[in-house]
Amino acid sequence: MTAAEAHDLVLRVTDLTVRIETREGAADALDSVSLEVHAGEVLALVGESGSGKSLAALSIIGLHPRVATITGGDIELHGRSLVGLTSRQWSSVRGAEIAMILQDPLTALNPVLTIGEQVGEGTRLHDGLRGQRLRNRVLELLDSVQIPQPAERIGDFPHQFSGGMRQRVVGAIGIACNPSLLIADEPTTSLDVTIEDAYLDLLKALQEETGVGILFITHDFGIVGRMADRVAVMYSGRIVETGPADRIIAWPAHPYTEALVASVPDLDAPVPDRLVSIDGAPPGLFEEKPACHFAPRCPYVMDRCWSETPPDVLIEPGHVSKCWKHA
Amino acid sequence: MSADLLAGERLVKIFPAGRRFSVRRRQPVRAVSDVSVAVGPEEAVGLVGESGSGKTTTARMLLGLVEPTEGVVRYEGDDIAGLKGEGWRVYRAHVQSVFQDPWSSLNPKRTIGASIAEPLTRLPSLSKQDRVDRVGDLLELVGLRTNLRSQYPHELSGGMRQRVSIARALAPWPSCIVLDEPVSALDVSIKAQVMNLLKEIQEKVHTAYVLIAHDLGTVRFLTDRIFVMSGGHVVEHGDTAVIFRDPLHPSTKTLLAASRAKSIRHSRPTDAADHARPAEPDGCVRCATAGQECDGVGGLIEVGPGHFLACARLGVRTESTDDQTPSSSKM
Repeated sequence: MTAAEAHDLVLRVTDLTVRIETREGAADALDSVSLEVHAGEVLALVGESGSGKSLAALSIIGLHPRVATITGGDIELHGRSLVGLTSRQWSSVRGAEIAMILQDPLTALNPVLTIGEQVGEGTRLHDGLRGQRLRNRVLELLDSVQIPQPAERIGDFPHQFSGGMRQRVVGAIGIACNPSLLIADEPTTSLDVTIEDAYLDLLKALQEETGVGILFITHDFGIVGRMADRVAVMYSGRIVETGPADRIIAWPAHPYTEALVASVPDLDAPVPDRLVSIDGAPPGLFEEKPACHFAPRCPYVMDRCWSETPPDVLIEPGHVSKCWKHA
Repeated sequence: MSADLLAGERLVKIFPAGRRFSVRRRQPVRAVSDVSVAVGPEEAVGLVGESGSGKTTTARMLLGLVEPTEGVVRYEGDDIAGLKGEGWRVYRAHVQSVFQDPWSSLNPKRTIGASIAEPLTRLPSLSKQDRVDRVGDLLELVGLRTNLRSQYPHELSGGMRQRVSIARALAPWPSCIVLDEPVSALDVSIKAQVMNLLKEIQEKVHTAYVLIAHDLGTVRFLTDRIFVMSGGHVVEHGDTAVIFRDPLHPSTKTLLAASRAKSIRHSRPTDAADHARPAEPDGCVRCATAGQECDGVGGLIEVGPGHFLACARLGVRTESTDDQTPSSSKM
């Protein structure tokens, strides 16, 4: 890696292992997860519910639940480790350097505070802006997320906004302090298709403007094609494939990715008789799993998949697949 | 098509103004205006549109769960408003529903077997053993192990629960199932399984489907005809294949463009207009190309075989092209 690339690196997660312990049992919900986000890049973290993608995001921003403990690996933001920060240290990182957009804009906003107060909160706390300067910054932010007539809407409450507009407000809060990393956890799941489309355009435009690195969490490969520069696919707590988005969509290497890509309906191809689907369901967290967690559902399964953990195989530069098929 | 199995004729639903918690006096909401939809025996039709377009209200009127303000719902030709007692029970058994959320649509205190058998207890001709056998057959039909019958909903995954909801809907041998976003709450790898299952069931037991979905991929895979709704009106309807090949109404085009943009082989942006939701949905307020003539929505005009469109602007254009057709055909 050259010096320029190293400088470019915003987030580096190395072999992150997170263990969940409850009365029902204990298991590694994240198993040696490694990923990198560079400035001005969108990394899509793709997976189904229970795959660990949201837990990974919460661990990165230090908000993982109490039952989860980081038992191995490191999370570095601009080379500085975030593991073991005190809550006081975290409050200078969260919102300022790492911001997060959650799935549901209805619960992410405080119903009793005005839009202006909520968008301005981060700037007030982290940058110390007050009065007219704070107001101007809030108007600028609302304008950048394309809220029409921001000066008239600044005193409105969340319930006076539609779902798509609320999610724009949440986006404005996210970029308020010019963070270097923005984590978007399925930000468009609760939006209509056409509104989702406009929101993705907006997010992309914001990113080009500010150069923020985005970790985009989604279960939808359709969004990956639109948004992502690189992709990391998660299955049952592990990253099974990572690489450039266009390469992974064109040539998915891991059997799980292959099935996910094939299951996105193509509106221009003839209607298929049956859709490509993956039999079975992902394993539960505390279930006993074979060495390769995908083995029970995999069409290419081999004997060694049950007993030996698959290696990370380099398919092409920057494209890695965790599968015995390539070995 | 011969006789319709289930049809809504010129349905209107106006919800009265909510006065609770409201400081200002609110206007009544006109959720559905003059909508006619129909499904034939063994046919699958789709209702598509954005949220607020009136598709769920229309479906609830078809199910008899919401009373239309104006218009008639007919099942096998009879107005369902006049059904009482036995007739109503028969209708409720024949027209079933599956809802979006498999987590809230099953009673957590009932076993899977009891949930599926519930609609059967209304059919007096069945003995207890018949019901047990029927539940077993249904579990098999939806691809679940029959020993699942004694388990409870919390022991099942989302995809399995949705299969149970489908089995329950199929229990009383319905002629039509209204499916309200049946796969949108499911995970990607499970979604395709359930869509395949729905198609398989249709081929095996020939139930008619009314499918409500905002995802056009689902609709295209499962339906023969679609009704596109916008602002409480049907703005375009026709054969699914025709509408996908040749969408005419701007809101159909917007929906298709948004779905295509997500189709991974077409990663290009679209020019979706700004989508602030109108306070009073009526007609074409959201259309990017709307002009003065678009005040409200005109009637549906047949623009091709079985392809109907309601658009003031395109209606005008279609008429003018029609004028030119005879002269060109003479040549």
